[in-house]
Amino acid sequence: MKRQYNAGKSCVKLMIALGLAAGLTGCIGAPVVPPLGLIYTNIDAPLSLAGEVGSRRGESTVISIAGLISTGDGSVKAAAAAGGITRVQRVDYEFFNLIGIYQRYKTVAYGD
Amino acid sequence: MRGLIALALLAGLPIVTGCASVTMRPDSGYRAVSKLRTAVLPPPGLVYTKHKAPLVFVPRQQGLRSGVLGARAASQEREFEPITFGSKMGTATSSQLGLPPLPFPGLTMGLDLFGWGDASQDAAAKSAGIRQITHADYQFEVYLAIFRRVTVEVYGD
Repeated sequence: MKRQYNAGKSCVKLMIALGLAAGLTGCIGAPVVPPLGLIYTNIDAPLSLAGEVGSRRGESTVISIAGLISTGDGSVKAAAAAGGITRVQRVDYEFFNLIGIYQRYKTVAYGD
Repeated sequence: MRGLIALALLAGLPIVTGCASVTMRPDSGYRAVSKLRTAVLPPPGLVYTKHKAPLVFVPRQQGLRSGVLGARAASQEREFEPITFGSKMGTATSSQLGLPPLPFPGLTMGLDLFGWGDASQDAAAKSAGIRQITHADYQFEVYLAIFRRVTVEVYGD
């Protein structure tokens, strides 16, 4: 009887941890989101669904730590400035996640 | 105890499965926290967030017309207007004050008490005298999970 109680308690703790982890990290919002992994994710996906590739590439980055702190400039303007782009032809994004502790979002701009 | 387990399942599973679901937005957990609706939302932090992301992400299609014939004509043209930033930048801000959404962001939804400000693109454009908006980014700020601020930045001429 006592073992059953402990198992139930462990289950509750696990679910609380999962709920908090998923809720706090929150994944990412974008028009196209491939299936993400809670433990490890490293994906590239489009933000604009068509357009020319262009000759230059620029990135801007936002970093999130443990779902508690998030900072950075992930705007298209910053990505274009980093790549010396005046006309952005296409925009992608990259998302990296390690156990919800370290998450990195990048806006990648292509253009001329 | 069974009630607690059921509660934990109800709280945790929809958020966990939402990461790979089509019907539920992958970021539904945090959207419930921040009440922020944007096309692109990098992972925010509950305690401190100050980041920028694109508000408008798709280069506008030229010659887009309504109706079947218009759609066909638009698909044949396949011309996309590149994003340019113009010479001016205007901003507009909206703020929100509420209670932190703990312990389960997806379950409790937080509690928003006050919201004020005009973060429309129109207000941002007027603040800098922009007549033609060519692109828009936004800045999202969170302080101690209770104060949130969205600043829309528009570019144009």
